[in-house]
Amino acid sequence: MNASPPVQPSTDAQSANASIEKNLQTLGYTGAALLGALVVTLVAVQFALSNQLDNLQSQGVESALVVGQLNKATSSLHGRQTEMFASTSADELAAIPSRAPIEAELRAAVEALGAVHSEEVEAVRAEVDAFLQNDAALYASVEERHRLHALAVGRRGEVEAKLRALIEAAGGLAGVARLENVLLLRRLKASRGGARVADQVVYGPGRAQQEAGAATVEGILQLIGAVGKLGLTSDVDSLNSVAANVLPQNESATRGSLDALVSAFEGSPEQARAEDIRTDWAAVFTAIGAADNPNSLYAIQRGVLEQHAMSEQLRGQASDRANALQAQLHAVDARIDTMIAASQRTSDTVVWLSYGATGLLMIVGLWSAVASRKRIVHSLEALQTSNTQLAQMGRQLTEANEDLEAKVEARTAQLAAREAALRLVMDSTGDGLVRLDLEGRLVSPPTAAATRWLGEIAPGSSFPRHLMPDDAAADMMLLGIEMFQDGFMPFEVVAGQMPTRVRRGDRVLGLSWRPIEETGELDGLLLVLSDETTLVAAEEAQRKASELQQAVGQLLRNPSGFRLFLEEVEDLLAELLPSTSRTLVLRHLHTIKGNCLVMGFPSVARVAHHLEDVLAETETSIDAKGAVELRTAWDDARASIEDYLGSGGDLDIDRDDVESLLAMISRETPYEQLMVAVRKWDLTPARVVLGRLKEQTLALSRRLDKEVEVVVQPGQVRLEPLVLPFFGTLVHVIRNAIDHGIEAGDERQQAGKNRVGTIRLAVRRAPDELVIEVGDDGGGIDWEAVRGKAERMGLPHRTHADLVDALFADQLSTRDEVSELSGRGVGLSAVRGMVHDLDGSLTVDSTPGMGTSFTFRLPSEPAPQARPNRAEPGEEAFAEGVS
Amino acid sequence: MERWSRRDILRGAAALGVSCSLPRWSHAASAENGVRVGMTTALTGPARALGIGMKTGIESFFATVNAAGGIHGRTLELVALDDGYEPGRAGPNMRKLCDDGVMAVLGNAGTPTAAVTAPIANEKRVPLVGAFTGAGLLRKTPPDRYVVNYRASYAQETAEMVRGVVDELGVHPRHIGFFTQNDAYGDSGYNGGIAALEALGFTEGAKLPHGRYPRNTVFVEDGLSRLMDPREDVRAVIMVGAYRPCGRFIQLARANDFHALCMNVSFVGSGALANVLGEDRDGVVVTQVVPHPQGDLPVCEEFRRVLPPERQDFVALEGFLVAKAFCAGLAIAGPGAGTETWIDAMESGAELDLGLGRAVSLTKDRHQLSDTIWPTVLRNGRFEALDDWKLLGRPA
Repeated sequence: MNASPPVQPSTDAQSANASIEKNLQTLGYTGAALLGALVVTLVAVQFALSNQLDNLQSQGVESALVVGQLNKATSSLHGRQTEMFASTSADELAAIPSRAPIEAELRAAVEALGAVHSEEVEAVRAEVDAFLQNDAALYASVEERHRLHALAVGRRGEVEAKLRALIEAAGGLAGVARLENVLLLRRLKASRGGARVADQVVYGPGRAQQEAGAATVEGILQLIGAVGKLGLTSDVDSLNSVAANVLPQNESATRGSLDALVSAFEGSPEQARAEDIRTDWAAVFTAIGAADNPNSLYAIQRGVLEQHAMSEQLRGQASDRANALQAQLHAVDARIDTMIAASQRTSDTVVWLSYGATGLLMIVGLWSAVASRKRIVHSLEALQTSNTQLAQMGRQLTEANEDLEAKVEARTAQLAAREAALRLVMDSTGDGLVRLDLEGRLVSPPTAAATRWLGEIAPGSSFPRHLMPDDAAADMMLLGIEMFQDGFMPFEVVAGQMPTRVRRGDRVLGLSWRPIEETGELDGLLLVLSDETTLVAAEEAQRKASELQQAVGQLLRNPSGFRLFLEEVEDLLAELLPSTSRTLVLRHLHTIKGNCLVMGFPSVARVAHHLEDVLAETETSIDAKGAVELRTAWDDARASIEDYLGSGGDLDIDRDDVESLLAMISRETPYEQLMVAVRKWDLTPARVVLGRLKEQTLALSRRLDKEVEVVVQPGQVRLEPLVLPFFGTLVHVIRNAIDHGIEAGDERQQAGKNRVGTIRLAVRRAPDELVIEVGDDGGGIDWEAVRGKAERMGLPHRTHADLVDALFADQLSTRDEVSELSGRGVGLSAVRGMVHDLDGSLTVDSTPGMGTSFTFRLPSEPAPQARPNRAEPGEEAFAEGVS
Repeated sequence: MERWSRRDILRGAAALGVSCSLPRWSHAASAENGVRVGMTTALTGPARALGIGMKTGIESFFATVNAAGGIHGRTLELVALDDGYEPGRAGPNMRKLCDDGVMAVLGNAGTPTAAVTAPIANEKRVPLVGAFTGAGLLRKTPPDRYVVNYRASYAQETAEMVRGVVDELGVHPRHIGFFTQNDAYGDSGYNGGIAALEALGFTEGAKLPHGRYPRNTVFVEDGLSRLMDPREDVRAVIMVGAYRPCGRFIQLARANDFHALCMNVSFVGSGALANVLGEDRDGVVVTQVVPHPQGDLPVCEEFRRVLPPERQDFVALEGFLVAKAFCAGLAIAGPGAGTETWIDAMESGAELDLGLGRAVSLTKDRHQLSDTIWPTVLRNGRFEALDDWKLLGRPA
């Protein structure tokens, strides 16, 4: 931008300003005067317009309405005249509505017109009077016409009847004469002397010719009458009557006469004449009334009458239409009136609005003229001031141009400083940022955090080898980087396959990959390293906390049962850890795994499962490391829950116990027996033990995805400490019942059973023994399959007892996959082992389709040696099994 | 309704006003509460015996039906108008009945009148039932929807006469003559007779002597002279006319020693004919389309129970049968039936038992309730059933 030369204020400008000011003032005044004149004109025009509208409403609209009414009434009258004219009888005429209402309407309209246009009304009134007079005359004329017509019809009928009677009478008289003649002839014929003459008279041709001629003439005369009748008929009924009655009779009579005529003249010179007459007559008759001749007189007359009737009807319709049209026009008229009234109102409003608008316009105009004058003066002053300022700015700009180069240099230095600052920011985020090329080589020095965690790394060296703990892992990462480079797979997919964490000493580093695409393609990788050590620790703590929560849940639901569980696991561990028997170790591991899992110690279950895996692979016993691992896991688990366990010194007594004691006291039971009863309170109630089993059963069923309901029948039994471990092993029987006994819901429904399966757990006391029952309502045991399996496994299988033994032999389920819960098949043999240890017995009762019930009987006072020596039964039985 | 009180007249006038201004309303009302049927017939004039006889038969039957509670609870009423056997009056009468909303028109007498009333029936869609005429114009093929006949046709009657005279009595056809009324009625019977002769192989029928007389007159001499013409030898006369001219013809013939066998179609009105002839004119034959009222068919017994002996004639019995047929149709048509449903019911093929010994059923193609002819003969001033033509003896 170049600076313009500064404007010098001059004294000439002052005087020029003054003259501009003066001119503008003059202009303003002239404008105001013109505006005023405009406004005055507008007001005058509006006033005239509104006057005109008033006039239009008061006179024009009014008279238009009146003229409309006149029109309507006149048309109605005219329509009525058409109807009158079209009427065919006096009755029809009389049926036409009276003229009076229309006349009244007409006269009212004339009076209304008189109120507006007094000069013209006289002429209109005279015209209307003439019209009405005319109408009355028309009515009288039509009435007279009908009267005369009716009279004529009646007279014609009378005359016709009289004429016919005359003909008939004359004919009758002729007939009398003829009969007399015939009688004479008959006498003549009968007489002897005159026979010959008589024959001449009777049979000679002269008589026949004469008769035939007379008959023919009579027939044709009648036909003339019929034709006249045909022409006179005024309705189709009469025409039909003539056509159906008169014409056919005449035809047959005349035809007969003509035939007679022709035959009478047969052979005479006049024969041809007679035949001509017959032919001509036939032609004439056809032209008159032959039914099949469309051009016959009859047909034409019929057409005339039909057309007449139709045109009457059409005329009536036309009249109706005209009336309807008239009514329609009147309605339109009325609507137009309404519109005029509405537009009148609108015009009024417009006029008033324009008054207001004009006034407003005037005020605004005057105000703006004054205001603009002021502004012009003001802006002239401002012009002067800005001239001065412009000159000043020109100078300043020249100076600024000189500084520009120095500023560019300073800016470059500033940018360099900002880059350094950015790096500092990056260093201070806490994350390690590492930029690699697509070979995995370090491109630029990593950020401060990365250097702190990984030490100095020279740019250009392979970063994965530096980062990862061993070569294999580094190779994997390099392979990944190669896949980034290939670009065959989406970046996110490859990044997802990369390791996410790496442990460096005590520190766990999180790894996250970002693409660098400076040229639009992948041309580098950004590896973000973050310190996740504390995060991992927190996750571990979280897991432990949730485990603890689960365990505490179990504890709270069934404290006694939970304590029993703890004791059992302690016992099992005590036996397991020093043992060298692989079978015992496997069995106990399995029990520990199952119980820990359902009681809320998955960490212990995981360790147990891991040890099972190791044992299955190595076929040796558990090693020292495994033992420590299991012990530690258990101790940790136990320690975590210890705080919640309490002292363990409480007695588990319920209301029934107290009530039965009270009952004993009231029966005055001897003190010794009371002591025995109370002492028993120290024992664990079966209710508690079965309650825990129920919890385990429900947990198992959820895992195995079966719907099961558990029925517990603990009775009032309390259990000796010696038998408690046995209940721990029952979980295997229950697991079998759920997994293999209870069918899937759909299958159960098809079999007509409740969808939900039932497991029954019962304990009762029999004399000298404790009876424990585990029953299900599942499909029962397929003994044949058991037999087949036993045979294949080389076990005895002849008797039922053999099969039960086979069932409880260490077995493996048919599953291929081994889970934490079941499938290793060591369960049932553990049960049998325990029953054996306790000197008990077991029976199996199974009904196909109905279910299976296991009954265990343990002696009430077990032999003192029962507990210790847990000999391993069926060492050989680690093979596939059935259940 | 012998004497009219002032109130009756006023009420009648009011009703007339209402029916003029509200024809639809009155139509609906008649359909709701009762059934009105019309009749236009000869209640005056030379043929009045026929009209009155039919009216008597119809009203008697209606009276018994009404006494038993009507058909589907609807009572029956007959509105009879007089046309004096004149077509010019029958037409307006018929239109008036139709416009007043009658459900059907029953038992009109006469052929020339039927020539006018039948087209009106078709136009107004009001059935014309059991008209007292055997003319062919009511017996089209296929039949008109709005025309239902009771009686056998005149052609069937004259054919029966030809059969009786030629086959039973052995008279040669050339000895047959005709005496007919000079209108559609006379033509109808004459044509039937000629056709019957042709059917027997006699083709010269048109040349047979044929006397005619004008309707509503007794000018029979000319006709008689044709039959007595010494050139002819007439032994049997087929007569198609009204009872007065026919009676006069027979008396005049007998008086002049002309003893041909005289045979009348039913339309003549046998009771009236017997009255005209007096007691000494035995041997006059009248064919009938109804059984002898003193016969033993069920309808005859019913008829005799209802009518007093002096009114038990053939015409009244025909009216009785027509009314009976109409009511049978109404019963089949069901409650609230109108004109169209009545016709549909008649055409449905349902069996109608009129008490004639066997039931009849009508269809779209058959509108004829009876085809049977019952010949009768005058003996001792009374007509008796003629069961065997040979009993007449061969005429000379």
